[in-house]
Amino acid sequence: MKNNGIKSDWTGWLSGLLMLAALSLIFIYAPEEKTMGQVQKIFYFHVPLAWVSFLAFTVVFAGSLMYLVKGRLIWNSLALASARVGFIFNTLMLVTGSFWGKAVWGVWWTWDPRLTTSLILWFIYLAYLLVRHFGFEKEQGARFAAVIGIIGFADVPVVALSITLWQTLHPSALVFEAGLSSRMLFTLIGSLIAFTALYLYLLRTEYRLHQQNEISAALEAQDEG
Amino acid sequence: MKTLTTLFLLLGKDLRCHLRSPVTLLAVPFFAVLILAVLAFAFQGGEAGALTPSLAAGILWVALIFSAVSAFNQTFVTEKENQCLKGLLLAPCDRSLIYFSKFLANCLLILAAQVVILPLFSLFFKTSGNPGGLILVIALGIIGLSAVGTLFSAISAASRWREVLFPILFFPIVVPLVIAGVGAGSGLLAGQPLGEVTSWLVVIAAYDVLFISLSIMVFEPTVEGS
Repeated sequence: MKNNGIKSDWTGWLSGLLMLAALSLIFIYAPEEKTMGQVQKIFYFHVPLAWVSFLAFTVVFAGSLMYLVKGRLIWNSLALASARVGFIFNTLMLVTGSFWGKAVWGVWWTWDPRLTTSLILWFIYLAYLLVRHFGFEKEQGARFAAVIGIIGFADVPVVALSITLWQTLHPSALVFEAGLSSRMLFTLIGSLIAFTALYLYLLRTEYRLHQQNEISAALEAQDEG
Repeated sequence: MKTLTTLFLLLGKDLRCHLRSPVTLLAVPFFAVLILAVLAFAFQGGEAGALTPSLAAGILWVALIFSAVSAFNQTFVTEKENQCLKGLLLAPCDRSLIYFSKFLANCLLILAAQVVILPLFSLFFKTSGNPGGLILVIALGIIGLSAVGTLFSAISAASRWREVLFPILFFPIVVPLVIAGVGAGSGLLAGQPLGEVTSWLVVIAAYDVLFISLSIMVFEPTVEGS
């Protein structure tokens, strides 16, 4: 695996450029919202963070499924890398959502369907990341994690469904709504692209790092044996 | 049919084990009633003014899921002694039958415990409402809890820190059951007929079907190499 260091990592450079473009869109191009002012711009971070954390967990699911079906450890590395990155994005989504709620409604938390589902996803991510560390052998831990990845992924839509149903029966004024002008929509899409590029860069880096750790561990084991 | 015979053989074995050393059989209702009592104190003695139907339904579900954990913690642990699980895996049958028999045994165990739990719940919290409907909701919920709990028990049993691992895995996944179960339960305890809470029942039923099928599919890789 070629590794020429930071200069040749085009995904990093691309995501850096896209992020700069997105930031200029957010702070310069996007119009200021009438009632909320500058604070509304948290929205351009919060929504892409949510999108990426769900995308990342979809990759965790796909990697887990492929690992259980094919058995090759690269799938496990992919799923693990995506879980680590996705977990960070999910945490940031919850934090920005909290700030948003405080700024707009004066509450630090609300049981909005998206925030709630994201909270449960956070716990599922945590379960996925932690299960390997409960004293299992590497391969067994990887298999158990894959099972969590699959079961967890199936759980997320059911959580979203049940909390949405609960919301319709107990309507609250504190629900995320978005009425978007075309400039806002453009900015949002730009931000989405930038955050996805960032995710792909981090995913690739994390995956390569994990693979190289595996290779060096295998070489060390060979040396000792 | 050979599959059905094997299933009944396995189920018979599991039930006989539970009856011969009835630790889990007794632990589930005891633990549940203890939790109900503690929560009664936590919510100011359960006096009529303090508790709405939705709060009572919530208390019941908390007691249910926490007492169910004590059943699931033990499910695969006994198989670790004398390498019983290896022996079971050598059996000439589809391995998902092993899961299914344990799943059914857990369902029956926890359902049996409700015979003690539900009347005491009604007594402690002075509930009125739709008992038949509530029993149906609880039964469907127990099926879902057992589906997931039995699978995760197979994972956590392999670890030294199983009592810590199991709740971390289990509780996030059963959140939809709790939401739907409390949603239906609060309606039923308020005296609504079963027809009013069908949307919640649909959620619980869909959850049950989804997770039983998924668990059957992933059980083989879970116990492989045990």
